[in-house]
Amino acid sequence: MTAAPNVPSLLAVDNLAISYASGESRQQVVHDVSFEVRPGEFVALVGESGSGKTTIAQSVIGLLPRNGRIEAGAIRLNGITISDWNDTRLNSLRGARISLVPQDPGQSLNPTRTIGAQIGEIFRIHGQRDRAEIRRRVIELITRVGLSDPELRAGQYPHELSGGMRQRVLIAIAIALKPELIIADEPTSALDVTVQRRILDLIDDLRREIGTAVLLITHDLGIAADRADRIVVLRHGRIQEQGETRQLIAAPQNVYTRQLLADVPVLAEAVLRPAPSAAAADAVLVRNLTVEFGTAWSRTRFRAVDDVSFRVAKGTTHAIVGESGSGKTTTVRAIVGYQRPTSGQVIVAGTELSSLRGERLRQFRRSIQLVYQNPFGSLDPRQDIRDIIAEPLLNYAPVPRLERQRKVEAMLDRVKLPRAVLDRRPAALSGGQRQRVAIARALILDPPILVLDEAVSALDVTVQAQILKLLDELQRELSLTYLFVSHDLAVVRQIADTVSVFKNGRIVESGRVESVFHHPRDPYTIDLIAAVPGRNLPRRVAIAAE
Amino acid sequence: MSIVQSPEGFATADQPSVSSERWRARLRRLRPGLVLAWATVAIAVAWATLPWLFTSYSPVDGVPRQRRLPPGALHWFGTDELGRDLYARVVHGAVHTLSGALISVAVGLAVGTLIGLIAGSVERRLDDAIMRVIDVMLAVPALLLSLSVIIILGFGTVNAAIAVGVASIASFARLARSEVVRVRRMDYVEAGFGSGGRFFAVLWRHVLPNSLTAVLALAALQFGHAVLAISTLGFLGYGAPPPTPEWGLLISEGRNYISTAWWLTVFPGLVVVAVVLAANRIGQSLVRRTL
Repeated sequence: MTAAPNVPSLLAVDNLAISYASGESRQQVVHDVSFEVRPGEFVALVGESGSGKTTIAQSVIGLLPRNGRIEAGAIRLNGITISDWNDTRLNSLRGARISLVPQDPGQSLNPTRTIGAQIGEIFRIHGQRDRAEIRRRVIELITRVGLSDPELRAGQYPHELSGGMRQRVLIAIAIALKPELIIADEPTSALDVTVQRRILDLIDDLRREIGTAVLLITHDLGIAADRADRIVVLRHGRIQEQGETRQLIAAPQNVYTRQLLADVPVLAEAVLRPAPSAAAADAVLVRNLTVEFGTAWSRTRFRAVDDVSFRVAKGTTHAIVGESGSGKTTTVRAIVGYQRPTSGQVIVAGTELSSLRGERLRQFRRSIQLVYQNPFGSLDPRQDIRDIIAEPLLNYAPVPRLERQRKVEAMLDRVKLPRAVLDRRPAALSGGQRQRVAIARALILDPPILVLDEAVSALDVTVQAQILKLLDELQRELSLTYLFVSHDLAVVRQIADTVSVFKNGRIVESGRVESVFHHPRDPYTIDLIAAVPGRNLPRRVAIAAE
Repeated sequence: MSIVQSPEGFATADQPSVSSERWRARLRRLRPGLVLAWATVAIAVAWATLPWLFTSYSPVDGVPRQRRLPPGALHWFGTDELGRDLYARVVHGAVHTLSGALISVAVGLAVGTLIGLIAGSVERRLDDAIMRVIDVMLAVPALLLSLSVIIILGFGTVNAAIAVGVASIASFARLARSEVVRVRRMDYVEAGFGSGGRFFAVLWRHVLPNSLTAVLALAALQFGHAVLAISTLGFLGYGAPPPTPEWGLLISEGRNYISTAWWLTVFPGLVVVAVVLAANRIGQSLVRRTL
């Protein structure tokens, strides 16, 4: 599918430099970036958060924020420089020759207009006036992007569609005028893996069908390796390396690319974990847990967790995997004691939870601690790090000030943070550092069990790899039991001993990680495993594939 | 380099050496209206704390021969029917009006925040009950509510201030409750309970400080309203008794001579308008920064 090197480029970015105004000064965020996209080619722009990948994409289509400015370099479309065009001139390109699939399908559609009206808008903007013709083409597009019942969909509003369906609508708008280039800015990062795979398949099919080139912006090297002809690796606004996908993956030249490749969790890669001894006692035992939600007004009750049972042996890691809405978080909240089960039993460290109230519940919390997904929301922005880590110590039998100080510093060393952060506020820390603080707070009471609710999902791969390594070390040093909730099967493969696969509030499959991943029995598990990106990445430990 | 906000919200700390440059940048961005507002409030506060620096005339003893003189070089704002210098009375009156406004804001802030905190953190039914009472308070016009309270408490500067404060409790409570409800949903509050925090400890450590920013901004806004409301009560005769030179009272007394001595109402009126506008301007800038 790769175009020959002598084909003239469709999009050429030459020595691009972009800066943002911050206060009175300007900060350059993109430095001397050059790459090209040939007709029909699939190019991936890969980088961590803050690497400038979105800024570059925005500058191509002339949508930089007001404080952004192109400092140097040029952007050419078919040899014509478009980087100095004004909005009016660019409008003739937008949608017609270059189109954008935005990141967040939840916010990119107007909630007050129907799907049909929003798809039809692009034809109206570009001069089509015949209503019947617009309607015909809208229905055709909806069919094309694989939505069932096109007539019905055209009359629906965005809130009536799921995230994946909304992303299809956005793709329909992007391909409406058969543009030469589609810029897809993290089109699937808000979606579940199985949906993500279908959306990427759709983009790929449409590319083949209409010969459109695709510029995919992503943080996920696995997706890039699976889909792209060529990959451009960015860091701190500079290109680290670019080249043919196969070559770049097989023989990365740049240190950072190598680092990135090493940090991406790969499904096929087994981390050899010692088998837990059969005699180990249960740290967590869940028996026929059911949780229902209902409102006071309606008689119908929603069953979020439906007859779930599993056990976690002491000192092991049990993973709960599933897509959004599968009941993983509700299950975990019942185990930590935030959610009362409708029926069933939860036994944590020998204590039956459902009977606990008030002071006894408070005492119970010492034995199990939760680390949240979002390190930006789980730390009080008004406390400094010292107070955050020390706070749990204030809640139980008084610990003298010096002893507290000593414990906080020891814990800080354990999670490998410098002493200097003690007097800072969370806002001055990076995402990875904040998650370390959250782990330190959770561990300061020496709980035997730690629950990690998507605790590494919000982090860049490199930071994610560091946190996973830290968790592994802590588990061995303190013989902790982990309950690890994740949607990312590749991460689970690396850290967990046993796994339960959730779907619609039920466990469809559970067992040892190797057996579930190598010999999945349930069709859903098979689908889930097949959807994990990164099968083109090199395997570090060879094992039999499915 | 100053603080850079990347899309994910990481903030990179900058070096202290460039902070002076940042100050200069901030100074350049200052809007003239806001500077004027701060200056106005500063003058009013100076009048209230150090009145003798601004005038040598007495605010209560008049010179009988100099009755109702129009504004001039000797008497900037003119004199009243007893020969008292009006400017001196305005300057000395600042302490009554401003301290009154301060008391009323303090009453509204303290009681309102407490009610809002309780309503936002207790169970649903009690919350509903409290907020319906607050709704009723909001339904009664503020002035009417102040008047009813002052009739129960009795007339006087402090009582008028408290009455105005009571009338503002409802709006403080409403804002405080909505902030508390927002903050209570944050992960760090749940984490506070999860690490064994008792109910009141978590409220005190996490919920209250994080809810307070917006409420304090409202307090600045409320200050202007309070000046106006206290002047209104003074004008109606429910506030300070004569010859206290409270601003509302000055306007009220001057009203009798409006055809022959316009300055008696116009100058105190302008001062009230200026201070209220200034306080509003400052309050709005604070609200905009926090919300």
